Amino acid sequence: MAPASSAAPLIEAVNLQKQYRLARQRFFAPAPSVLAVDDVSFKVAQGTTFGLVGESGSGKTTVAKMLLKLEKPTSGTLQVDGRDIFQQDAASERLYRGTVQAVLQDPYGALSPRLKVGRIIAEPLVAQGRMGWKEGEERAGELMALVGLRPDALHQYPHEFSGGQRQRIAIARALSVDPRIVVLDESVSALDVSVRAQILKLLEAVQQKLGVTYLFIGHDLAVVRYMSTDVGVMYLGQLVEVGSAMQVFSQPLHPYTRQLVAAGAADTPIRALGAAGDLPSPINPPSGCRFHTRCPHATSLCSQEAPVLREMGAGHFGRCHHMEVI
Amino acid sequence: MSLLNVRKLTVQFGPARQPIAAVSAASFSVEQGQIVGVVGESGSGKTTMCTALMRSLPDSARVTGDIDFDGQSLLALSPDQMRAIRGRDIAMILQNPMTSLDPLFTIGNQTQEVLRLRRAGAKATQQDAVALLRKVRITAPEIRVRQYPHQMSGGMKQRILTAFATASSPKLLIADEPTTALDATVQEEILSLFCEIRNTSNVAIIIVTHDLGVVRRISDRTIVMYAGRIVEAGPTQRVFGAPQHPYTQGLIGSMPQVVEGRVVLSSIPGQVPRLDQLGSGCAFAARCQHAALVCRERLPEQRQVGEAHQVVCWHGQHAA
Repeated sequence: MAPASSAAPLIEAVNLQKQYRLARQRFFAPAPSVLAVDDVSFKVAQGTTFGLVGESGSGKTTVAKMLLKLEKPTSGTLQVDGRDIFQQDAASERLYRGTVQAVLQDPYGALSPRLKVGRIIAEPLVAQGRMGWKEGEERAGELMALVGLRPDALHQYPHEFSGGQRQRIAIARALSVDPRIVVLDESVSALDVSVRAQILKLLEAVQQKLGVTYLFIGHDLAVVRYMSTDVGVMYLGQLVEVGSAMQVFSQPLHPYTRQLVAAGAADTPIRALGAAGDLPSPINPPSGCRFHTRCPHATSLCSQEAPVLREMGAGHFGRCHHMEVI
Repeated sequence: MSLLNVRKLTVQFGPARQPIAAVSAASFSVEQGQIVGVVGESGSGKTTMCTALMRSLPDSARVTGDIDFDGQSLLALSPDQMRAIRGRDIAMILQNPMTSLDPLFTIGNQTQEVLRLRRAGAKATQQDAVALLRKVRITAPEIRVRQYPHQMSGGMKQRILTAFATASSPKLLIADEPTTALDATVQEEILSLFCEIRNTSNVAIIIVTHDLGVVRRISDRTIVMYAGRIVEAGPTQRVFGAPQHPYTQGLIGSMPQVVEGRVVLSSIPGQVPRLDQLGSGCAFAARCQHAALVCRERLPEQRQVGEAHQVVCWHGQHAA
């Protein structure tokens, strides 16, 4: 199912599924549920970046949360380094928390306003029991230099920094425990264009220097394309296309990916692209192919039978009945 | 004669002795039926400039210059005269569609209210509301008028607000980051709705955004702002095809682009200066790789670099 890769992958997700129960509408009615993530499989090689794109509600963040062990999958497995991360004992779980770190979207909400920057960056080290505060803050100074901040800023508070600088602080904190994986969930989405470019350059340099693996979540296709080695496109909880960034963006297989790519291209004239109407609710997804309600190529087959992920090129998968003909 | 002619528009805040200019000497014009994109980063003065056009800034703002709209000087009008224009001849769409609607009233109720106000007290029925919503291609408007804002998606709310803004057939529509909060495919629908409105009613549209991709695709003319000043303005194809200002060049380079199969990205070093710490020279000089002594000392004048294409930069002047 998942794209094959030569070396043993660092991260491997197999048929991941996450179901959330919702509040029941009436007292005796069965509680409705939503499949936030449904049948998601992918592999990420060490030192590469796996990009996830899709609209809000498509399940990108739920995948990230499972990798961070903030959510448990309903079924399926998620392996890091060949071991299932949901079958860990307490000691290895503690170790795992230091292996995977996150940088989130909002650099204003992510940093405690009451702690000095040095403490913020040193806290994961102390929490992991690797060193004390004094040593930790020394290490924080080195990390600040790594992310392009003046080390004397250690004694300042987050409100004294701009959005871009705060995101640098958040990156320094994530890197403090020498993680192997960093989850970047819309980490540059709230930043201005020129600041965003600076942070992307920084993330790239960090990856080259430290060899960390990124799970990069974004909705800006150009940015995801720039950052990613491989890309997965999500729609209503499912991966509709997986492949190398080159394959997915240059020869998109799925009609949804095509629409996204067209909307991101500078020379596409503005007109109502195929996707008419709003995103259907994941609580009650369309029958058959989930995209058929917005797809210009939909046939009766699409509304009846759910397509499976099929390999079209080497390592390039799409979930559509009509990939050969469209 | 242009629909909107702005000359030397300056907006200052703070004490008169040490004023902070959010917008400095901005001059531009907008023709009927034209879509003008205003791009710039946070704090560049885009929103303040557009709010000044509506004369909706707080009293603490000191606005000078001249705003000539449809033959009237807006800054000379009385508050009552301005109220007759605001919302009727010049309408505005704001960034956050989630907070622009009242959660306590139905969509139909709010639509009727807008229609009533625009028609100076004339009655508006549920049918009028349905007709208006149908114009912005809301599906099943008969059902939607009975629903509340929380039952709508972000894209639908932005459609409804667009319907409100266009209800009085304005001559100028100002949209401040209209698609920033929306997903890619929904953004596409809203932009195509704007194009449709322009084509059917010949309204002029000013779109304020930090998304260069949006401006590039939708606008006829592009204005680039930096630290409260317009640094470059011209036909969109020229501004993106042959940008003249180093900041414009840097901004365009900051968007990942595919060149010969590889994705490339460059970044502008440094950060946006604080508006209270601007020197006497060009505000971009500290980050500019072409900066010379003159750039740090004196403000560049606006100069013509092609048909309807202006740039405010010393660089190139000596070379040319």
